[in-house]
Amino acid sequence: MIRLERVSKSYAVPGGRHVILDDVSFELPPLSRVGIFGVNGAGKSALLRLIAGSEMPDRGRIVREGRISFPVGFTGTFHPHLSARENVAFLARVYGMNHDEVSAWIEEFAELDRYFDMPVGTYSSGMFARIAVATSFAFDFDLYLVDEVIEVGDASFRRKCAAAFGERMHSASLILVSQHVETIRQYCNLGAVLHRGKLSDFTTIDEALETYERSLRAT
Amino acid sequence: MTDAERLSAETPIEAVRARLASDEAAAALSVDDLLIASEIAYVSRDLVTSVRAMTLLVARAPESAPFHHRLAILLFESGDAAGAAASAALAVRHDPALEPAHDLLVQARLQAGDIEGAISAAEARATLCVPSQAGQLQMARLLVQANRVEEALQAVHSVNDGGAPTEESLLMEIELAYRSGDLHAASNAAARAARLWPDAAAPRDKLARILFELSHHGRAIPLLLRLREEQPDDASVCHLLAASYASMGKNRLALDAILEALRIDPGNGEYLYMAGALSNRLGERDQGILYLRQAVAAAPDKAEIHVELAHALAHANEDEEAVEVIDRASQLAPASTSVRDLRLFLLAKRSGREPVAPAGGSGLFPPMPRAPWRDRPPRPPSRLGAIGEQLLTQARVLTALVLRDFRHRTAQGRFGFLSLFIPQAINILTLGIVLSLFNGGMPPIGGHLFFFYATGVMPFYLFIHVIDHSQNLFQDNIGVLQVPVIARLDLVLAMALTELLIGFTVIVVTFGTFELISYGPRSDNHIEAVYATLAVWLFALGLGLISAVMNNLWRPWANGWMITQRFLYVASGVFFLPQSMPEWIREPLSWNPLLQCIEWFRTGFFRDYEPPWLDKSYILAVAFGTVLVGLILERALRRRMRTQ
Repeated sequence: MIRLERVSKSYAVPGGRHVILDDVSFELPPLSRVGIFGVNGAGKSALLRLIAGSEMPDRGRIVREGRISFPVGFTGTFHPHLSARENVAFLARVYGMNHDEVSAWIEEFAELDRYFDMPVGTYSSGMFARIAVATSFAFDFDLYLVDEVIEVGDASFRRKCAAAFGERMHSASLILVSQHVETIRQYCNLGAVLHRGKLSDFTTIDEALETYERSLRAT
Repeated sequence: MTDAERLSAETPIEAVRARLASDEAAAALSVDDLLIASEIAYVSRDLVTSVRAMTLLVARAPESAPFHHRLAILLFESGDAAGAAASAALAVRHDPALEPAHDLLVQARLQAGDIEGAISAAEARATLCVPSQAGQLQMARLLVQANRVEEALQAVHSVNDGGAPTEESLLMEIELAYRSGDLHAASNAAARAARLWPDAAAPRDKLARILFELSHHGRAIPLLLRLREEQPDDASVCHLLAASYASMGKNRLALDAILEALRIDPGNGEYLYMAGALSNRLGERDQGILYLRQAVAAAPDKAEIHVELAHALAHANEDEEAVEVIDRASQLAPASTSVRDLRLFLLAKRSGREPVAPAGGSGLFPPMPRAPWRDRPPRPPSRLGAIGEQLLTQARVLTALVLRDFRHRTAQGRFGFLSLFIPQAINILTLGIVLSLFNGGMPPIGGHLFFFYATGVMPFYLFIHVIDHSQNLFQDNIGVLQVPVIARLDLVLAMALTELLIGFTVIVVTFGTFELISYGPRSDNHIEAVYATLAVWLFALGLGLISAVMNNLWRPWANGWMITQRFLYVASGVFFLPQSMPEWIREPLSWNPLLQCIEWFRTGFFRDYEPPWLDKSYILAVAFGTVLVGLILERALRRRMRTQ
């Protein structure tokens, strides 16, 4: 469960402050899949960082219950000098999961063969994306945070990503921020729009799209 | 019948009526006759005649306050409040100290609906007569009737504050303070009343309800428990008790209390609603749904009961019924955004039960890893359990970070684990070789040059390494900080723990080697060196925390640290003893906590070395103080830290 209580956040920019969230409150219902639309710079990624707790709001309170994921497909948690196996072991220790089981699953899912035991700094960007996405799916969270990326790689790997993510959605909630309507339509059952610091109420995806289009026309 | 016979046959009231029948006959009566006539009529309950006699009397003696007062009483009793008020006003005018006339004036004006007039009469009474508690209370009551609650409160407060309050006056103050919204004043008055009349239920009842409203549930509960014993049929007491327990998270006791309320008042929708919500909280969902269904039947127009029932049904995967219930709630509260959100969620849940993708990955990948907590039976939330869970997570995070850091350090370079010893070894060798050219190759203390330098270099490097690694800690680990369970303090603590482990290992191996080759002095006081190591580490942890925060916000901090580090190398007694310095240098240098730590470390190896300037309490004070400053700084500047 995530609850935002009157949260505000802004960043200093030349000539003033850019308001990302202005007195925003909402509660995410359990097992809901919310897609958040917003233009570039609307603050979608900042909203995810706030929910994850890696960034603090200027004002207001964020209440978190349950286990929250790091952004799906995020490569920043990987230490470049350590192998994928060592990096996965680190995350498994953090989340109290069996790292042999998690490593074995990722190794098979990501199909990296011998690279799995090589420092991730030596990976190509495609391999890095694969291992990052596979790692996100391997951990069993109550809430997954997604910033655009769910599927990577070629068509067959993308199909695998969609299936794995879908399976996780049986027992978890999702907050997905994206500019891509189809991505949100595919994975979410509720929608909202972040526009000029205000987050609209959660509605059906079609209603959220109408709101998004109105906000785009008004921009 | 003669006149005499007729007169003797008349009853007194008939005689009075006959004499007052005409103005002429009445004019013949004396003042005393009229007074007697009025009294006879009054005793005979002929108020009209009594008033007539007294009116004639007043006309004869218009300056007499008692006659006006008496007339006022008669008019008041005969229902003429306005006339009574006029007569009482005349009585008061002629005798301002006539208290009963004042009281009657107040009463008469009140009855005539002239509340402001009654208040001004009561004010006049207070000014002209001897002040009395009863008068002040009467004034307070009038002010309440005039809806002047604040003034009424002031009046009754002055009664209670000045003299001995009565139960009624304190209850009145409680009520008025409560009505004026000053719950704390109400609570104080109620507490006073409960103290003065410990056996009276009314003050305790008020106090309990006020404490409840003030959310002082812990104080309200003992009072409510006693009230429940005294008033076993008062369901509202059980209800308040249940709400108090629920607010304190004692859901089982709360449920017991509300079930007691339901035993007294079985069909009460509010109580059924609470019983349902509490059962749900305790995980007894079937029972919760049962109570909530009864609550909906008892109070079908309460949207919040429908919402709770819809939640419970959704948890039980009764999606169809949940949608029906929330539909009714949205009809009852069409403007409620929370009802609308829940309805949307339930609709989406009902339509979205089918997975985004088929379970099992269609054979595309093996069964997905499952978190161990998913298989644990659900436990009721407990504060202790939550703290235990947090500590466990903290321990897991620190272990993971330390192992990752350790692995990273030893994985770098060609020498693996040995690489941890290289900086210290190079430093000791360089110092030994260079400084052996001076002083005939003899160290300031003991006879072993490299051993002496090792006692300075080891704690110094532990200190320096912690702070060096803290400089860019937050910037270098922005990615790791995206993991929600990892906080900045975890990073600093884990880094410092890694350094402590490495530093301690290097110290043990180095001095163990010296021991093995019998190089260096004998000492049985090594525990002092362990204490000194922990002290220098704590000091470094505090400064490291400050450095990590400051360097994140203000980059010149790192340059300042580079300069300070060089100064510290010279000023911390790494390669000399303070006793070899002149007094004017030693005195200021002895304030350097790092020099103090190194001196402490040396006392663990050189048996007779007891420097007089060593102050262990100073070291510990500085170390803990630095940690405290670091924590405060991190807390205060957390929102301003760079996160990208």
